[in-house]
Amino acid sequence: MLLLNVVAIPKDDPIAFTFFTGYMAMLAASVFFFFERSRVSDKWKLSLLVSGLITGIAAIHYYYMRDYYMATGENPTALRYIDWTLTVPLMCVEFYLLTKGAGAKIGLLWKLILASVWMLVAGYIGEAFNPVGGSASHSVMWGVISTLGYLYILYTAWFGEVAQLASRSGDPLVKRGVSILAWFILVGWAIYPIGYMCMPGGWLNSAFGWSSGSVDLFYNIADAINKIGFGLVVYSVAIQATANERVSS
Amino acid sequence: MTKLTFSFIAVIYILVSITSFSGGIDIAVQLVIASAAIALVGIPHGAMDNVLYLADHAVSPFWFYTSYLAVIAAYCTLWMFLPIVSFVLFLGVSAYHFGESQLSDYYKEAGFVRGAMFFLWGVNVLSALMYYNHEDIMMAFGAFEDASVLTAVFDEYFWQYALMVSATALIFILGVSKTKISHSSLMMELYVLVLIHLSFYVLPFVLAFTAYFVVLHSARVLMEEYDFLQRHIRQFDVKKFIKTLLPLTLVSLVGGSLGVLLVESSVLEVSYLMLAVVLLSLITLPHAIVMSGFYLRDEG
Repeated sequence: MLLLNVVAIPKDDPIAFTFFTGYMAMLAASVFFFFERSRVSDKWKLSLLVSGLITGIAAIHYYYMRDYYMATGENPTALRYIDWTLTVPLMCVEFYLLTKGAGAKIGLLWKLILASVWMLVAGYIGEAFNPVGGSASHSVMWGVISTLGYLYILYTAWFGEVAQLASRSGDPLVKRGVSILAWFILVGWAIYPIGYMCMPGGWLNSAFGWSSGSVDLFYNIADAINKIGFGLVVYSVAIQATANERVSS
Repeated sequence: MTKLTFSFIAVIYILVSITSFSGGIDIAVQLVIASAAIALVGIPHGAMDNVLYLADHAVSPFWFYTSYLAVIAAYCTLWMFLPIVSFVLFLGVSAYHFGESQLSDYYKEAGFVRGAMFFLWGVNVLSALMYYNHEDIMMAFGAFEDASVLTAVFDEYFWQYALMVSATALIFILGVSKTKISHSSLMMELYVLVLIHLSFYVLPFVLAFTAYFVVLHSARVLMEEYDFLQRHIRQFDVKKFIKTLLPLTLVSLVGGSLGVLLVESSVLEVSYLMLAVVLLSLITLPHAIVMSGFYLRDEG
């Protein structure tokens, strides 16, 4: 009875494969982060909770995206953006939590959240409300608007408030953690505009015939690396910092 | 990452956002943007050669200007008799110069490895431009009788080969050389190189090269020149810097405009493209020589 609704996974469908593995990997990462909370000192518990929430929210959305893809064979655009709209701001929260000890104010948190929501909402409008057949002006305008949000976050992580706070903290662990997360923003997040350019009229669509379906594979892998990787960086900082605190006390 | 590198990343992301859907930007618009950017940043970055050289060498200004102009005159003569050789020289000097400005922070002392890394980096960038935009470049040069002579240099397979060999050689020398670059710097340089390749592949070649040349090369050199002069000249500020680079910038712009006028009035029987290539090469060679000395200066 339990198996009646199981959908067969085609052997030659890597996208379906990665939806399944992505869902399980995110779920496993969430369990890991939640359990490991008890091993870190109090000031790091919130950071691990947020890491667990990021992968947990993604796991649930991947569960639904998996089913949507298996049932329709289509790209679950709306579900992806719903997931990103929740998890990306939470990733920005991690920057705030990492630099809170160095004096980060709540204003920094709101600025990063606003920038990430700006980036995602603009991207969604550009992708989901693209007129049938594709409209260059619509896609360009919302693509540029979305990119501005991304560049603000990138600047903040590399030169702005986050980078300056990490530098002023004098804590090598925090500096290293912020630096690695900044690299995630620079390289890891850069993969997402690829899907945007696969829209009708987009460069990847015109030059290579790529459609949004083609990049589900990249999105699934990128999401897993970015979200789980992000959490693991925070985890490693928390564990090491806790160990240092125990040694010094 | 430096703020300049960030600016380059920002410019490329915005340009890619714009051009990925717009179906390309009209060549006339591209040329206007390129001309303005080069006039405002590209030309001025070379307009400090006299100040930089004379600040660090005990020679008379007369000797400097005579030598500078002699190099230009000799190169001009070479162009008249051996245009293909001159063009290859232009590409070779540019490659070295681009690599030098990008990697000089890591390689301070003269040596084979230093020279090889600079040249190979520049060759990698130029071959990316040539290979990814081969058709467009052939079309542009082929449209003019005098410039079409230079299409012999644009063999697609040569630039593909140059691209692969330069990348391989760069990795090899990086691995075996004694000079060690920090992990984060290496990652950043790799990221920038990938971004340059991406921009040359995705963007129209005029726009892509302008973005690289103006933001990553010229602006960086201008900042280095400013830092140097600020350390050597008392009360040196941005205003003084602009005043210092203004004279030779204006000379270059006036010279260029004169060239255009001569072509317009058929006194000079060359195409505008050939005029641009020759004029740019004539100021690149002495500039690259001066900058080579600048990067090897003893700051002790």
